Amino acid sequence: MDTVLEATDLTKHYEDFSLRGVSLSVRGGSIAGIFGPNAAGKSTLLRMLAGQTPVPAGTLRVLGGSYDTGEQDLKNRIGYVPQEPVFFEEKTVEWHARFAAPYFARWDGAYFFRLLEEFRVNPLKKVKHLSGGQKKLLSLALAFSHGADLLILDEPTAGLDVVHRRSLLDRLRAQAAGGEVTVVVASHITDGLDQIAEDVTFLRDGGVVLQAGADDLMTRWKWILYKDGALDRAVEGRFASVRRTEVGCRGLTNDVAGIRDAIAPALASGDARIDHASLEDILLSFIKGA
Amino acid sequence: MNPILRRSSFFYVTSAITYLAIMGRYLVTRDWTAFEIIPLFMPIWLVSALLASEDGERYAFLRTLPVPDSAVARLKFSLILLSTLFQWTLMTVVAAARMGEGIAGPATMVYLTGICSFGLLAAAAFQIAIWRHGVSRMKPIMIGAIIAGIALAILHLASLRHVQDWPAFSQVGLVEWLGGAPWISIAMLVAIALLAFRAVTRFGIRVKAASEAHL
Amino acid sequence: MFVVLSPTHPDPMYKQVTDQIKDAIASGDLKPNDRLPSVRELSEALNVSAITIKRAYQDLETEGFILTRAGMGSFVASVERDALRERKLAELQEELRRLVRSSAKFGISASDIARLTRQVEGD
Repeated sequence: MDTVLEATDLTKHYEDFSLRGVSLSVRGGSIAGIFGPNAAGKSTLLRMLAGQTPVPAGTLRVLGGSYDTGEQDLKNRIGYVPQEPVFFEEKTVEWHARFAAPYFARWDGAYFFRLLEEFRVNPLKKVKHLSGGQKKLLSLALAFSHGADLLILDEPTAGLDVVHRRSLLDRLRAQAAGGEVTVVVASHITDGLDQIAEDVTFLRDGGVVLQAGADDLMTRWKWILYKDGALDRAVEGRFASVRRTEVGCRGLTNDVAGIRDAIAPALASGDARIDHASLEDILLSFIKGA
Repeated sequence: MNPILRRSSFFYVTSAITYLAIMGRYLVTRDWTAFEIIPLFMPIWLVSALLASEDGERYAFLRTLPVPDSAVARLKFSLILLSTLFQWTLMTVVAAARMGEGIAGPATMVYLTGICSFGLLAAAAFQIAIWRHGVSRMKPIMIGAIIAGIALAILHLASLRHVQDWPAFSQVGLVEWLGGAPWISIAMLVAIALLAFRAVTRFGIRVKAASEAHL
Repeated sequence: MFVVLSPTHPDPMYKQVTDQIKDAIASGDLKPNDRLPSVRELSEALNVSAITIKRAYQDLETEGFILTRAGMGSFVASVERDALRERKLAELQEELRRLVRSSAKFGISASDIARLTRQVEGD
C-alpha cells in the first residue's frame, strides 16, 4: 500500500499558538484519526495538509505531489471539509454546486444532489437559513462529489444528528475499505470516529504525544479494575493513571502483557478484572497527565 | 464564464455603468469644472467598487476549490486594472472631444492620467490591505477614505466656484508643464503606473498567500 | 467492597450493582450493619447517575438486603446467609446448564466437566 500523505516536521507559529514538529504518514485506503483537546492544533494541521495555509517549515508530500507546484491538481483530488465551513450566505445550496462544478475535473452533479437528499438538505435554501449541522453536510456533499482520492475532514460529525453521524461513519468506512479513498479525520471528541480510525495521532498543545495503530493501542491499553490492596505498589506505580473509590480501584495500563504475571493471582481470585480501554480513555489519560 | 470572475466583477461592472452614465452627461456639458471634479471621483468610484466586491467575497470557500491562490489574486488585480483603463479611456476620449471647444486642455489629459494612476495604485494597496487584515477591519478605513475623498472633491468644486484664484488641478505648475508635451507625458505616466502596478501585484500575491486574516 | 460495572454486560447497570452488593453480602465482604456508601458517593465512584444507584438501593431494600434510615444512610440488614447461599446455587446451576450445553458441541460431557472441577479444586 503506497503512502498517500507524508508530512515531516510540520511547524507553524502564530501569535498565541505554535504547531511544532508534527510528522504524519498516511497509507492509501486507510483512515487516519487525529485526536486531541481544543486548541491542540488539529485544525491548523489539517489546513496545512489540505493546502489551505502555507507550510512555513517542514516537508509535505500529498498524493505524490506538493502544493507549491501542483496546487490545482491536488485540490482537484482532495475533498476538504473545514471545522467551520464558509459559504456565500445569501446564495442557495445549489448555487454553490453550480459555482464549484466547473472547477472540478470529475464533478458528479447527480451524486451531489443524491447526497443532499440523503442528508435532507434542501438545495433551494439559502445558506443563511441552514443550521450549523446542515452547513457541515453541505460541505461534506461538496467534498464527496468530485471523485476525491483523499478526504481531509475537520470534525465532520460536529453538529450532526445521530442518524447522519452514523451514516457518515458508515460511508467513510465503506469508501476506505474499497481502497478508492483515503481519509484523514480530526476530532476533539472521539464520537464514533475512534471506531473507524485505523491509525491514531494524539495532538496536544501543538505537538504529537502519541502515534500508533488503533488495533495496537486497543491491545496494549487496558483498565485493571481491582480491590484496594489486591495489587502491590510496584504494579500500581506502573499504571498510567489510578483512581481509587470506595468500591474498588481503576488503573490504566499501556502494557498489559508486561504486567500480566504480576496481576495473575488477583485475577484468579476475582479481586481484579481486565476491561478494555477506549481511545477516549487513552486520550484523556494523556490530556490529564503531565 | 468563470464563476469567480463573474461574481467578483459584478460591482466593478455596475460601477463602470454608473460612471458611463455620468460621463455621458458631461459629453454635452459646457461646464469646464466638470473635468476638474469628475476625475477626482474616479478613485472614489474604484475603491467603492472594490469594497463592495470584497465585502461579499468568501475567500475561505474559494480556497477549497482547485484554483491556485495566485490565480485568484491576479484576477482581482486584473479587475482593478481593467476598471481603471475603462474609466481612463472614457475620460480621455471625452476630454479629447471637448478639447477643440476649449473646455479641456492638454494639461487636463495629463491630470486625468495622473489621477487614474493614483486611483489604480490606491485601489491595489487597499486590495492588499484587505487580504492582510481582512475586510471587516479595512471597511471603516476605506469608508473613511471614500468620505474624505468626496468631501475633498466637493470642497475643491466649491472653492473653484466661489474662491478667487483657487487653482485648478489641471493648472497646477507641474501638470501645466507636462501638458506642454501631453502625449509624451501621458505615455510616461502610464508606463510608470503600469510598472508600479506590476510590482504591487507581485507583492500582493505573496501577501495573500501568507495571510489568514482574509479567510 | 469491590464493585465493577461493565457497559457491555447484558444486565442493566442498576442490576449489576444490586447483584454485586448481594454477592458482597453473601461472601461476608459486607457484614450486617455495615454502612453502604451514600447514593452520591457510589454514583461518583462508579461514574453512573445517582438515579441508577437510587434504584439499586431501593430494589435491595425491597428485597430485604439493606435498610435505609433517613438522614443516616443505608445499612446491610441481618440476612440469612443460607438464603443467599441458595440463591447463589441457583445462579450457578443456570450457568452450569449453559456450560454443559455449549461444551457438548465440542464432545465434552458433564463427567468431563466434573473431572475438570476436581482438578481445579486441587490447585
